[in-house]
Amino acid sequence: MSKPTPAGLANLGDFKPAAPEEVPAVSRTAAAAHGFVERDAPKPIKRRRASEEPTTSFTTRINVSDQVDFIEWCDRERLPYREGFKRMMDAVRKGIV
Amino acid sequence: MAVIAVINPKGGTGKSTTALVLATTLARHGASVTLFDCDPNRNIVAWKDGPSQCPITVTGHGDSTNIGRTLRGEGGRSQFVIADLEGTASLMVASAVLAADLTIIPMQGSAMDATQAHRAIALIEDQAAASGPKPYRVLFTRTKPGFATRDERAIRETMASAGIPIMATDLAERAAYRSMFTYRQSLDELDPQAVNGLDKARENADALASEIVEILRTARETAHV
Repeated sequence: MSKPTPAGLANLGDFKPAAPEEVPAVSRTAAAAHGFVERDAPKPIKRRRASEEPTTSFTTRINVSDQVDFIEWCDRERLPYREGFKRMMDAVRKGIV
Repeated sequence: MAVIAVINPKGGTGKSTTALVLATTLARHGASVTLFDCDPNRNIVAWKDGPSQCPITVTGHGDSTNIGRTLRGEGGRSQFVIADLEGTASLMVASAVLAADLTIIPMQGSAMDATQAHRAIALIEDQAAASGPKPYRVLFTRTKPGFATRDERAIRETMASAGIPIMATDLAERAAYRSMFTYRQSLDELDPQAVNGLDKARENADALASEIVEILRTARETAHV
């Protein structure tokens, strides 16, 4: 035999869908005071990207004009020197230079 | 419309079971219900992928920045909006509490659960001080009817003496609640031949839902006085 419906559940019509109300934004400081923090906090992006292969130091004497042009080119292209050198070598490998 | 947040920063306290039992019980009594599964384990989303015909809407949600607005917004479509939050102390949990008409904190009778429940209560009381009353209740889960361990009794007494509101109804340890997730059905849809104690589970679920509805009604009346 089924049990009678509890009085509280007999008529739920008094709970009506309602237009959304403004919800105050949670205070991060107040939440953090109890240890409630962003679970996936945004991680800072590293500007320098690690090389995919081992690196080495390479020192040589070059002409000042070549050095100036190289640095200006890297600045224009927003490249670290290592990446600039890599682009030149990529061009050599492709036979462009 | 009522928004109910189910939270405890500790995992494994019975949040998803509480949320699913409450949602399906309210739906059984004719209410429209949306259940937000904000737990990365997505147990309730997986439940909805099963054969259940229970007419609740289940939504997976993982964005902490707009959970409060999303919950209140869903109140335009459903009578009850229930959020099953992740078992961690996160900004998403704090945001859901701020948007909720009632926060339920399920816990078992253990010191570890109680410690984390206290964190949640401290957060709620702080928010209440800043933005008005935030009704909440502690709900003991996986209890054995008619029997309480010494730990459980001690924790109940400590909480009661601290003025922490505890629900009169527990969510008892019932095989039927586990079977809801196994067979991905509501209590009404489970096969009584395959699942023990369905009647008792339904009775317990009704008592729980009824008490929660009455708390919401009282809170609403108090707010309008």
